[in-house]
Amino acid sequence: MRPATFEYFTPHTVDEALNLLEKYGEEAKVLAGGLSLVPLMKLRLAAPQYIIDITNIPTLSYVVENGDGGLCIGALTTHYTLETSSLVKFKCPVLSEAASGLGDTQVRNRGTIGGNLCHADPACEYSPVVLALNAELKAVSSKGERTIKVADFFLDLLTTSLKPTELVSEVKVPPMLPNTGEAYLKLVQRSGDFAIVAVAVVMTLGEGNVCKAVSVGLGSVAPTPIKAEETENALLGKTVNDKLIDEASELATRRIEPATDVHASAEYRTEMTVVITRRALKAAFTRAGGEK
Amino acid sequence: MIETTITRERTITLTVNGVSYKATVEPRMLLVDLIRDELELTGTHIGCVTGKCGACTILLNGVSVKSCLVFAVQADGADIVTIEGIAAGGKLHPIQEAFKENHALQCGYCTPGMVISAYQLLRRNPDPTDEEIKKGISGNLCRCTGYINIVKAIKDAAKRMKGGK
Amino acid sequence: MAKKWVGTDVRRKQDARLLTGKGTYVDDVKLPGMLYCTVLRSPYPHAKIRNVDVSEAVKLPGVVAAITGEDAKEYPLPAVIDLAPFGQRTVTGYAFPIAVDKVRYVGEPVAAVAATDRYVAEDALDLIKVEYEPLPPVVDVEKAMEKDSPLLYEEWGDNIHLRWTPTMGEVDKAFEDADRVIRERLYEHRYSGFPIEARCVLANYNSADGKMDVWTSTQAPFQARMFIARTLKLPEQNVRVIVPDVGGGFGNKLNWSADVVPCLLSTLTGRPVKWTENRRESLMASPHSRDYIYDVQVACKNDGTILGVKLQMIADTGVEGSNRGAAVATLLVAGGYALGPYKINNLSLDQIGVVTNKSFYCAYRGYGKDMGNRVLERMINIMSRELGIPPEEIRMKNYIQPDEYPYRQTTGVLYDSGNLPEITRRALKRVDYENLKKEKARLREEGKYIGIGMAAKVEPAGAAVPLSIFNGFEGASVKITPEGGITVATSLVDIGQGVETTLAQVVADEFGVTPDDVRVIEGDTDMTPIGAGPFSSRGAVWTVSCVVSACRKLKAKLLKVGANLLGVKAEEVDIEDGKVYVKQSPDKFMTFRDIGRAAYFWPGPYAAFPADLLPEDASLEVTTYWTSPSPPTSWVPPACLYTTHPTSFEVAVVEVDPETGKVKVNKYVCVHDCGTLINPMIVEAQVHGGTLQGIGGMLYEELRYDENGQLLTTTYMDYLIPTAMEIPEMEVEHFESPSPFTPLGTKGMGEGPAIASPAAVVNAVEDALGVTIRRTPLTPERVLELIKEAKEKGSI
Repeated sequence: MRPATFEYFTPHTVDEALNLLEKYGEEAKVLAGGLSLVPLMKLRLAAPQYIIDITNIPTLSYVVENGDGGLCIGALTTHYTLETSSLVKFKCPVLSEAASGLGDTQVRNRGTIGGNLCHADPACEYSPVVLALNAELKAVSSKGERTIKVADFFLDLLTTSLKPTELVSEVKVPPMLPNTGEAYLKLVQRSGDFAIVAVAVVMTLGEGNVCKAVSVGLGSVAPTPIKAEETENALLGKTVNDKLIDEASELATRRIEPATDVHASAEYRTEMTVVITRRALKAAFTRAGGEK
Repeated sequence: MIETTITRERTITLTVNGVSYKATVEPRMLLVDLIRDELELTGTHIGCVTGKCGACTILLNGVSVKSCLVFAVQADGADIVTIEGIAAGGKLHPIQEAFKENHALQCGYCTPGMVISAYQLLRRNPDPTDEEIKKGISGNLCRCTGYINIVKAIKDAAKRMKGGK
Repeated sequence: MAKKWVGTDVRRKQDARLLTGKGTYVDDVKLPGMLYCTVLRSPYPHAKIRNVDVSEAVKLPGVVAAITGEDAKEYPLPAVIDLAPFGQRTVTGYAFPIAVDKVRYVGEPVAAVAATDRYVAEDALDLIKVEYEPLPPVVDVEKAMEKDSPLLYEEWGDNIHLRWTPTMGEVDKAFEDADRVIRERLYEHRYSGFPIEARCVLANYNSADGKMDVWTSTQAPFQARMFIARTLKLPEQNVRVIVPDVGGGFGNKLNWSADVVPCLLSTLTGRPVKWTENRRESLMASPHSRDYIYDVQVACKNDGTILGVKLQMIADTGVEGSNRGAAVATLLVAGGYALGPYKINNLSLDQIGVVTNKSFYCAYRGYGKDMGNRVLERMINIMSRELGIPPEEIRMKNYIQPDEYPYRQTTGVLYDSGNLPEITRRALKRVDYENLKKEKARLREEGKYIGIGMAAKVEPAGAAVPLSIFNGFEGASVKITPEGGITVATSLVDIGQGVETTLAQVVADEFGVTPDDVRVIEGDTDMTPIGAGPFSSRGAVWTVSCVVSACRKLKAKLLKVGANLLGVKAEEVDIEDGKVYVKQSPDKFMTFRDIGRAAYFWPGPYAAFPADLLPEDASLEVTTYWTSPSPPTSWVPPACLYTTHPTSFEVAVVEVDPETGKVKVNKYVCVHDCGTLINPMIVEAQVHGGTLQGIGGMLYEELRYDENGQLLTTTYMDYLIPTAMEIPEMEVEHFESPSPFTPLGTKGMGEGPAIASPAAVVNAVEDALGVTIRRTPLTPERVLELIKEAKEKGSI
């Protein structure tokens, strides 16, 4: 199937792109890797009048260490880069882990973190990850720039707080604290598929396996990614062990609003939220240096 | 006179298998259609709509991508390699030799995309394990072979490319 | 002559071109003036068509023609299978390539467009306005059988397509004599083959000479020709069907109701018209398969001896499809083979075909053989738990013994040869069964759940179905050219199974040459003798047998001509290494080239051919036909519809994640017997591919409709075909029980690996959990429910 006609622009700088967004806003779609948008256009479920292809903007693809020890990742950084970059593996392993299970080689070669986040599919790979990381997004427009906390970014199914005239240019990840373990786990039918349930955990341990900090992001269990705050609160300040992890996992379902679709029912997703959260917590705990 | 409706056609230039081409295309033309219908390199195939089967896999600026998810205009200035560009000077590439020797194709429809994915894999990882091979070709669906001989063939190709057999 | 090539792993002739992108599939063919065809399809499962307005579409620049049911109603589709003797109802006479008054499935064509480019052809569809009056859909098979169900075909009065209720033996007595009767009602879901190349058709009608050339990705060129000619009322001799490379078939390419549309557009526009099916169309509107309810009662003794079977099978055949695919006859095959490779004398069948608002039914690597196999292979697994007898022992107890073949099964079918007990032993040895069971017990202690599932099968191969397009005939032409080259022409199209190479191997052995010396000509109705094409695993049965026969007849001629040219008697010469030579003095010989040149040109036929070949048989060619020698008991199917019967014994080892329900097939062993092997490497790979299709069907693939009749799985994102990450470790062992009914003892096996593998996989999951599985696919969610049941029951 082939897409409907559109007008095509290929800006070479961010400013050019922003001017185009200013002009066409609502009727334009930004094109990066195309892995979400192009299939929709081919099925004629989306027929934007204007396509702004930002893949020729060289300044949007980078992974650099921040002054504070965190990472700044350009929005056009590919999943392949995130999968293989030693900087990402070291500073933000949960992001690398998520990238490595995303789709397949061809998808990872072309897809970008910006595209994945901005499309805001409830099952998108990175949304629970950036939520768990307490990351921030830099949004730029011809009027200036602003920082959007991930918690404020995802509004609803396929809907973000990004204005039609804005572009996400960067993902900023805070520094990884010492004694931190990170894990990303997704439940899928076939390898590389969209998650039925996905969980991202960042856990920092103190003396005697006390949980100093923990962040749990859930994906595919609501129109937006969910922070499992009750789970986090059950762990914070306590000595982490299997029993505590079990109890904390049970609480992960509190805020979810899972959908029933052709791959899984809401009930199954609810049950699996507990299972996958438990497994992800255990993995993060082990990686943080925790003793069972 | 029959005219086709277009919206601001663009002229692009690109190199495919070492040959330079100039084409004037609608922005919505898919790269796979440019390759197959305009450039008449029909070795790259279409097997699905949503970019899941991988039969359209080519190398775009050195990395494997599904050409049914790329617009031709996005390949302006690009260097593309399709299946027709893998064998050099009429001789089969070691990957192709290994596929034949190990009976890694039946109907042949997924094969061009599969070979390109194998090529990409071995360029990045010249000595892959079976698990790494399976992951490397997980974006290429095959309905005939059950993949078993394909994995064998890629293992064999890796040996051949390292100079052994 | 010694077998040099048959039985060896000859590397394939077609690989060099397929590997370098030099294959030609139908969509690769381009003709001057060619138009592209797209089809507008119904979004409703059941609706009256009030109006179709193409006026805006035709105005779009680039659109050359647009047709609707009004144009198509001149061309009702003929039946491809007509089992009226079985009470099959059809709608032949008012089924059309484009819907006329009513649509009956999501995806049914309601209009078609021909335009100068693919993109415009799709834009045009958006401009077609259709007024529908939706009708209540018929979606669930059991509800479709109820009295107040909406009807697809009012004149039928119900939704029953076919009902066949034969009884064989003394069923009531068997059930009285039984120690117990084990009964289950089992449901298998809808799925199908979906080869990576979807259907594609290029029709070129030359209005000046009335000739129609059709390139189509099909498995049956002669039937395609017949169907297109009959539907469009063209003289059949003026229709040529050309089949270039085919990107897989699996039975899904034995239907031509879709082909008629670009053909019709070509006659109307006078230009070539190409229709390239996209994957969404393929999932909605190409042939569907499986989707049965099977209600089985097995009467048995406590020691596992099976005395009799009562079987009811209900197949969801979608729309009445006898003019599209092979449809409801699947039930006859399924019933006829429900007794499998076991000695059971009493069977009653109640085979019910039901129409619903879904795409039509046809073959998918099985065509009823698959569902027939499920019956006892699943019930034996269930019986095993009830009786406390291991499943392999129940099978061993009931097998037909090797010395009892040829065996006339209760249903009338004749099994040619086999040795199930031996291949069972070998498979269990290969999987290290005793140790595996211990390992399974040990892992249980650790909370890990391994399951071992088995399935035996007898696969009917080489269909010859009367009153259908799958009939029993095959032709082949073998020729020696004037320069001594060898060609063999056959209707058997290469769809990936390697015909180009395997037939060359067969011919090479007959003439003492190499496969490189032999060219296989296939895929063109103008160029080959009539034959039925590849389906029903028939290549190794019908085509090979026919080719061998042709070769032997040609060889006899060649010996006569060679002897004549050498000045000796025919008994004094033989053939080896591409030469006819004098047995007593081998240095006196003529090569095939010497003979060819002499026979045709230098000096020519009058000198070269002996008197008994003149004046009417002076050629180095033989065209011959082959029909199966396996004698029919009657014309009534399923008796002797199939000439040969390959067998297998298969073991699946799975692991079930007790918390998520995810199933992984870790290992799969298949010991199979398809008689004489022509190319073991090719056969082994067929087993790999078919097995993964069985695994895919049971774990990942489903054509799911919602209660409103909407197909939910319309892309490869939702219809999940296994990737390389889902494959098990596989071991395949060959065993040969040659068939007494074919000259080389070959049996065919293409469908086989997809037939028993589903039962093996389900049996393995049942074994892991200890509860009866009644529904598929075994998605993680469904398995989790089974796990809960197992926990409650205490079996895990």
